[in-house]
Amino acid sequence: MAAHGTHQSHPSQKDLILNTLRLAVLMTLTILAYVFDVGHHIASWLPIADKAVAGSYLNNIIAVTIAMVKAYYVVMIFMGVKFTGPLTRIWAWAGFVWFPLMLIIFGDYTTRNWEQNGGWTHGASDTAAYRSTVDKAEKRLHEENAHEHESHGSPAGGGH
Amino acid sequence: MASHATQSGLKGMLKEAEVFHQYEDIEQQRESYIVGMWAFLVTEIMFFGAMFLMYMFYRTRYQSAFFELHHQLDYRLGGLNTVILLVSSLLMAMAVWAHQHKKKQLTLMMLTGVQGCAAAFMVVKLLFEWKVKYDHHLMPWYDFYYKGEVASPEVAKLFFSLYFAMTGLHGLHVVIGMGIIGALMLLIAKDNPLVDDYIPTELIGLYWHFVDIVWIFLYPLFYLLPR
Repeated sequence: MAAHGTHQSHPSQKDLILNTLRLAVLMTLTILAYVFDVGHHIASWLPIADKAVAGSYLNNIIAVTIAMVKAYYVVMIFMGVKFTGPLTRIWAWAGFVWFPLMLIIFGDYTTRNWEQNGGWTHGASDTAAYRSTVDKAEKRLHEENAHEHESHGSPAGGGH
Repeated sequence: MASHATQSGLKGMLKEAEVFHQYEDIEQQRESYIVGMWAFLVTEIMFFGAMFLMYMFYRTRYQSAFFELHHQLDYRLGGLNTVILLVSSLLMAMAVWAHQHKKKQLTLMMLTGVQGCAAAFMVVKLLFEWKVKYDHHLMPWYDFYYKGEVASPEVAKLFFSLYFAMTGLHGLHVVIGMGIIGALMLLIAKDNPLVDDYIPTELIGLYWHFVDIVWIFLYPLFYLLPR
């Protein structure tokens, strides 16, 4: 544990008050960005065709970026990670490994519709290829049902 | 290593922190506690992370409906709660500082302030937000009614389910925090040997700042939902 003693191990009162002011400024910024719809203003200056979508993305990016900066300062100063040894730092950062992992899971969910597979996302997609797969499967199911009913002596045709 | 971190003879908290036999020195002992707390917080991040993932999934799917629905939430009340939690975080960090410097009265005062902020947060949440949702029939499990231009009642129900699940879980953490801070205050007031060292305050502080961080993300995602 060579890190002990060589570091200042805790934030000073000045650090804490400065950090509070910093977080208050960031909070004001995020509210102002929301009230004045900054993303759409920036998008209107950009050479992009779909300005509404670009503005929406920019708004989201601005809001989440400010939130991440705020979280960073809370972790670093209030939770004292800046002033601790390497072991605590590793654990603190390990928690946030979850976020990239989350994006990968999210990528999985959002791209499922791209596959032409009528399996597990019933009704979740409206692509033509997906529809035809589902239609075929349903048709086959109906035929099988009809077949069964015939063998029992009651020909019930296509009861939707 | 000389225990430079503990000094005797200061008013309020007089006793030295005990170094238990499995540790080399007080610093190693403290680091072990803090790492243990962070390990717990990692599981909390995963817990909340799953809910944020769910939120992201439906948000991308029903962006315009969610935008319409978020007007049901008052961003000023959310902002007030953000300020309250920010102040409480400062007070909590000051309480840790005071306990490190063995200032018993100051520690108790700061923790009382944190309790006050937590209570104020819950009052705003319950009386000015959830109560209003109840009056407007926006509780998904009870007498739900919503009629909007873009959002269907089903999507509205989904939005408010997410809202209540996520802010509810956060609120539950605030209430649990109030409980453990209360217990800590009692131990400090009674000069219990458990709080000879400042580490219990530090660990509860870590928990409290984590609750603040969750709100830092909840606030823009629900109240400041962009067009």
